[in-house]
Amino acid sequence: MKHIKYLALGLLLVAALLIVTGCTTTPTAWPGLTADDETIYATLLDGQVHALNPDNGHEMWVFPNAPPAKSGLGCQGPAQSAGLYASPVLNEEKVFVVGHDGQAYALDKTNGVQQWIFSNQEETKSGLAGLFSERKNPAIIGSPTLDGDILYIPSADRNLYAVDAESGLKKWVFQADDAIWASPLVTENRLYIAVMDHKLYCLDKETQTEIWTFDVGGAIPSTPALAGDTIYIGSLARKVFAVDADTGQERWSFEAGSWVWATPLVISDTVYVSEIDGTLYALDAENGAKRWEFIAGGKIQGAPAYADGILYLTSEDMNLYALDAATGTQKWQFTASAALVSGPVLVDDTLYVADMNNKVYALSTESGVQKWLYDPNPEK
Amino acid sequence: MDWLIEPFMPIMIQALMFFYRLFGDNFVLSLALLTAIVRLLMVPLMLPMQKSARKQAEIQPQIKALRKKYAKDSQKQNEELMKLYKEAGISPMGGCLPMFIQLPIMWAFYRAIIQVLAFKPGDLFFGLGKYIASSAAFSDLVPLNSHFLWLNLATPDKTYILPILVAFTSWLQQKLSPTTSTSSGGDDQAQSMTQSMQITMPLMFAFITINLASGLAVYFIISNLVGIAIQYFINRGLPPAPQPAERASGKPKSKPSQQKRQGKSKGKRK
Repeated sequence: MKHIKYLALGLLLVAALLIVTGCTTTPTAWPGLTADDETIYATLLDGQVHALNPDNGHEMWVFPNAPPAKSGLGCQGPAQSAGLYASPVLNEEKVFVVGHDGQAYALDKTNGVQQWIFSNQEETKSGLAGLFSERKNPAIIGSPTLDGDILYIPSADRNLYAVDAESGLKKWVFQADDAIWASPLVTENRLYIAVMDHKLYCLDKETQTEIWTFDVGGAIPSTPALAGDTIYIGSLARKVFAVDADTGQERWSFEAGSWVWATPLVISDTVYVSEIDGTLYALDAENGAKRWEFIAGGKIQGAPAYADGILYLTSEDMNLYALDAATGTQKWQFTASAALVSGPVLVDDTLYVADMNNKVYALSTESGVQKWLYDPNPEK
Repeated sequence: MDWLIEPFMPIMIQALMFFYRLFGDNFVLSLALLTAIVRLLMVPLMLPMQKSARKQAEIQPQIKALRKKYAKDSQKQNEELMKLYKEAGISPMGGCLPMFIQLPIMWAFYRAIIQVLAFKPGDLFFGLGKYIASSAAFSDLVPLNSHFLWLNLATPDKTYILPILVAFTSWLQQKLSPTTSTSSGGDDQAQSMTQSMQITMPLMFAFITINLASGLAVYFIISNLVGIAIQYFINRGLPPAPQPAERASGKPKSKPSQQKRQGKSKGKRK
């Protein structure tokens, strides 16, 4: 009997090891924040949108009412990985949020009531054809971009969907060669789409015809930045490029030490760009020459925020750094209770930032002093 | 436990990506080659385990007799068993040590496959990025092409074909592996335990793979197939398992060295 007990124990141990290690334990994504004068909208790692009062952090509403259920043995394939993660997008009446299950929602800004839902899931083929059809990742990872009454929704299924912001009905689809994680950049008559197939696509907004493409040599997980007639873009090939927005010709490139994930920030004649190994670079916007660098204590994913000569930078080392934008000298730092992966959001004299423990902080831009803290699960 | 596998992770991940590039962005070929290499490197560690298992199978009748003889005196039983193991040249823990050395390497390989198949931003940022974000050699490969036949290797196989293949290849591999008790004549309890394991383990693997990324199921299948091939060649080199008649008498009919020669010559005639 002793042997049988050991056998059962051994089997259980092997099963537990396989299940635990076979499912990724890393977080699916990171929080997203958006704010206007009246409300802070935070998508936290519970997969829900939390609308908060900007004055005191009190919760106004939450959508959906309960966190999405996890299925299976704890392994989340893309189809099961429901949850809203990217930063919400706002118009006058609605807040638009997207999820890893391929759904986009329009909610009433005042009460969080669902107005419409858009799904990128095609009709499932039945029978054997359905079983053996290619299984695309339907996740909508990047925030949508709102341009007038059109919502441009990037999707990991390789499509960019143009959806009517009023009704949620699909207008047209642009298909790339790989997943689209980044929000598209929209100008008066052009669309710039960064794709994981290494290319930046420039499309005519009206006809969706391709004007040019620019190969950056690596996957592009974040939105490019536009300043004047130049596009600044980073990639996982560890390079930052300045590209002529009109012709797609390279103006200069800068080689970083690791993946460039965050969207560059352009202020005046300086481009601020970070690499994930924790270095923020200030580059000359004209020629890409390095002016200074700041090394944080952890990884950087979020773009910095800027106001009045100060840069606000978050890092996985749980710190938010306030830096002199001209010299990179640190002015103050605020330490959260967990990693700060998303960039901060700035409204007037308050900085909002969400950590990987689902806490949202409101901080003074002057000193970093905490004004309030929102914790949806205070008992934890 | 991460400290145990962490030293092997960068090597495994970079090797997977190196072969991925070599095979023109084909992850399954990269996985197959690296699995074969890792399994072959593990052979020197497997051999003592298998030799030990074979020897234990040979002395099963003596063990059974000792257990019966000293059923009421467990201390004496243990002493006699230890003596028997010593005489037979078996270290009771000798078979386990190589297994513990293999474990972190195999576990690291398994985790490396999961990391490389990253398909969510969190997987890349917190996982794979840790190992290759600053590497000029592999950064341009991310994210890897995870499509193979009808499969998205980062997600479970909804056709259940892979779990069935996992079960079948696991069963076949176990069937070929030497155990401490063979099909008849040995300890009844150990024998029934072995038989139940030969059924339970493959079924359990199949059940687990239903929910795991299909890339891991492909890895299990390749690993089992490589294991079967290796086992075939090891079995040809090891002395044949004792037959029921030999075990009943409690003595082998010939010395192990003679058996080995006979086994080899038999193998050659085939």
